[in-house]
Amino acid sequence: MSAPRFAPGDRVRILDIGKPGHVRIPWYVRHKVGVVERHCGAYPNPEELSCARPGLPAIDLYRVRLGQRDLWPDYAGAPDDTLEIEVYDHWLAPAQDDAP
Amino acid sequence: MTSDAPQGQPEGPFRGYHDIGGRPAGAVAKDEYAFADWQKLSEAMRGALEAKGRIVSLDEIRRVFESFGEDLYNTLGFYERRAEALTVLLDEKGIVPRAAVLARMEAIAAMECRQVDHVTKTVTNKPTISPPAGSAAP
Repeated sequence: MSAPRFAPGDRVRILDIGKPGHVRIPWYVRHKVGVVERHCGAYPNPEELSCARPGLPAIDLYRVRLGQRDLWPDYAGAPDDTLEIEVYDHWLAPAQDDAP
Repeated sequence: MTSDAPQGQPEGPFRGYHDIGGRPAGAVAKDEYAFADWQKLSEAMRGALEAKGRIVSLDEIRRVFESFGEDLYNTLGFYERRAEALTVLLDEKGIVPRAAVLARMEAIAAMECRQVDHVTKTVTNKPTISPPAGSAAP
């Protein structure tokens, strides 16, 4: 298996890959920029599993940390509050100099 | 989704009715409650069917209840959605006919003088017009 594409600390943009059917990436994080918190391992693709296919090869899964204020324009909590969500590699793109 | 979308291009954003994060909603209920026996049993069955060679995967169950339609999805609770989807998948895979599950539900309800309404997904007491004299209350 190849090395994970992202490392902890990398800035990533969560994509909307325009896929119908069962996907695990909620609407509210799509197009948002966050930071990889950790690599969680590689797992069968749930979009394939949902159709009774094997979902292999396994896909890298990352925990991505997002700022609550980046998610919710009217967020009233502390400015450094975060949300972490696990995202498969094919829903991510590098976002080095990307404005959030 | 349009028929003239270029081949190999994403079709556009999809948002299922179940994807409610960020939608206006009332206060979130935070009550704790004890699990019902049927909830534990149906989850145990689901787990066994996943563990034994992935006969049924949790992601298949999610795909099925995400295609129930919004009304049925919202009618059913968390474990009810999973159990209902499981009966659909077991039927699709030729493992347990759904009709057999529904018939068994009716038989169990009848033992308790109740009846199943498969349209509204509810169990109600059987209407009793004139209860026989001396019959014990349920």
